[in-house]
Amino acid sequence: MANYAATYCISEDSLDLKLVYFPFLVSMAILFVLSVLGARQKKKHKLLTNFVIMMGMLEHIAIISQIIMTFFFGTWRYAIVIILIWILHVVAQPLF
Amino acid sequence: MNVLGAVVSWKFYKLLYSHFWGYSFKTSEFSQPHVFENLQKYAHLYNILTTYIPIVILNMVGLLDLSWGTQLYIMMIENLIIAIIMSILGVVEWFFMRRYLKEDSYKKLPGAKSSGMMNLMNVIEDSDFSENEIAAVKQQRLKDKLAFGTRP
Repeated sequence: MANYAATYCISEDSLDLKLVYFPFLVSMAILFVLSVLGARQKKKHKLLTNFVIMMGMLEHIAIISQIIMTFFFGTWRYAIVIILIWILHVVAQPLF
Repeated sequence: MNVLGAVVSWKFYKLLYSHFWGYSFKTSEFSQPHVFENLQKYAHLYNILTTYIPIVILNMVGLLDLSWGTQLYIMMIENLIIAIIMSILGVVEWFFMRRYLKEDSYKKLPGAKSSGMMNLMNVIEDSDFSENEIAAVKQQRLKDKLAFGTRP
């Protein structure tokens, strides 16, 4: 079958991988529960702030995963844009 | 924390006042908390403009262009939702940040003139000690007072 960009053929077997439904949203929910538990265990634990901190790591992984997926599915136009977004995201870290 | 902040996300600097599971990464209070507060605000604003808005646009275009049934499509939905949620939560966190930074400063002894003096009991009571532990410390202080008297 053709890839999304219709530039070359790919094996259907390669796309026959089992779908993982919303892994990052599930992870986000787990991190939120973790933050809620933290707030219950320790009264000083800031629920929202710590959730945002933990999400910082998850966002990073989610963007990298999307980059990998765009290459895997041969959607180069999306790959270029998401890589640019990731570079802008990474470049900013040392500035702040 | 510095490595994570510089490499992964500037959000890790929030650990300075977030008390992750009660743990404090900060050993002294901020001399200029507003500088830190402004940096965090600018960082989030930059993040919205350069990361969240482009991700939302890219993924919305992708969702209209591609078809359901692939991991990429699922990931686009996820990243779209995460970007929207995180940009909103980041702004909400701005409003809490000032209060958190103020709360995080050490308390002075009542009537103390020196800014460097701390009220030990306030610190203990605000920490994560159990009520029994606080009661034990208070009892010990009382015993010390009875044994040695009050300092002049």
